[in-house]
Amino acid sequence: MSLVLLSLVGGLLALDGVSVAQSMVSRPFVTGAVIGALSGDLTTGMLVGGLLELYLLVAVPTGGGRFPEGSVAATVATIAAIQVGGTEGLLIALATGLLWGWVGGVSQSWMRGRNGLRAVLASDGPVTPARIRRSVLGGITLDFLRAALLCAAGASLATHLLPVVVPALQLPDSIAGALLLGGGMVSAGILLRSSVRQPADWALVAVAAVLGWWLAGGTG
Amino acid sequence: MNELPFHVRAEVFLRSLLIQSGWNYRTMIGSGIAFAMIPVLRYLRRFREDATPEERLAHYGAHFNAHPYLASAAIGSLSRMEVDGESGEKIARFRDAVRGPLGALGDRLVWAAWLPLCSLIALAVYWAGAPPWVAVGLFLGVYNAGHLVLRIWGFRTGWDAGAGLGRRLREAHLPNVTHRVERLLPTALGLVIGAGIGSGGGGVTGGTEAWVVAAGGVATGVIFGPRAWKPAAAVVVVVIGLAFAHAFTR
Repeated sequence: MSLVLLSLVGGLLALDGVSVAQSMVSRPFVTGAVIGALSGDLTTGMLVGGLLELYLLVAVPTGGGRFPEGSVAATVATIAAIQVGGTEGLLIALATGLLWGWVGGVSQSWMRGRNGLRAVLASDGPVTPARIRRSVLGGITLDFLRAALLCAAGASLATHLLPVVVPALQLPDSIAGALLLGGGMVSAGILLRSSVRQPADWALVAVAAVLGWWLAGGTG
Repeated sequence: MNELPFHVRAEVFLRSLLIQSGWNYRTMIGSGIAFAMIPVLRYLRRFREDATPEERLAHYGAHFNAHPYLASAAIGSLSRMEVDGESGEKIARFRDAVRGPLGALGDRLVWAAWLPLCSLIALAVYWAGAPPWVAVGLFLGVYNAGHLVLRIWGFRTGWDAGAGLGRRLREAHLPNVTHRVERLLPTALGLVIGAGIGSGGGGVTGGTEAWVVAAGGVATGVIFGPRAWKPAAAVVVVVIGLAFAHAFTR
């Protein structure tokens, strides 16, 4: 699928983040899978989506909050990772996606300011159903265009620059992979800090970790 | 006339899915509330001439904020109050009274507990070897079961309670539900950390390295908390910067 169509899909998925329904198809885990599948590489999409989901565990879609935008980050990172390939490419694609997701967060703040111009306040004139519809539909349109353009710009930059950058980096796969997992585990630690209420919880975490390790084939 | 037909309530509910689409710093979700209330006012206009929709919509479009899922409870209450012919002043007082609790209860239950729990379960299942679409389907299915139940329950509760929504929310013991979900988070986090190590983050690393970096990452998060975000973001920027510098100076 072409980069333009993938960006449009990314824009549609991003709508779910704040503007429409919030059913969480905008989470990186889902967006990565969808973009990966549409690009013909579901495995890389899941890899990127899973790692980004871990990185953005503590980034939630509150109306006024500013966090890296997960759907934009996952769209750009998945497209870039598939293009570049390899663990080193994945690391740089993920970092680029996170950076672009942060740009997405900044652009959401800008959009909220623009939405304010269409806010339905009685002091600005009669509050008619048509005015309210314009406010709501205008917000959805602006959000879609913003996210789709961001995805297109980010993916275009990444697919042009990363094939030059990644081979030059010559980072061993072992280090790249370790950085990828370690960075994500910071988010797990942050959530752990706020979730563990009593000492016995640490025992629970340890037992669950052993179980998770065993289920994931850690013994082999 | 003290009821709304099902099709009107269904339209109000569907419109409530767009509650945040006009989110802005002046009225927050005020536009979304007004948008959801249009079918109620349109229907009632057939029976009443005491107020124009413009006057009533001005009340609804004013500043309001709440968690998007629990905003359905406010919309249910406002629909009931509109049907009961409550005054604009009473509606304004009601809005002021419920927006704080509806925001705080929802943020803690959904954003801080239910969403991370569902994400963690899906990640653990995927890293434990489940097929990709099973993990994605599990995440969306489980998360949205809770999501839709909360929205529908909120709308029904609001419709039944009218202006007495605050009391009904207290009786519902939502903080207890939140507490139960939060109690599952340490176990889910343990599973993800273990599965992340066992699978090497889905195959990107493995062996001793996976143990060391996972332990280091988790320890950093536990020790520094949300403050660890900024250094982590700085590392990302530095990695990209170094990569580009290296590429273009060769």
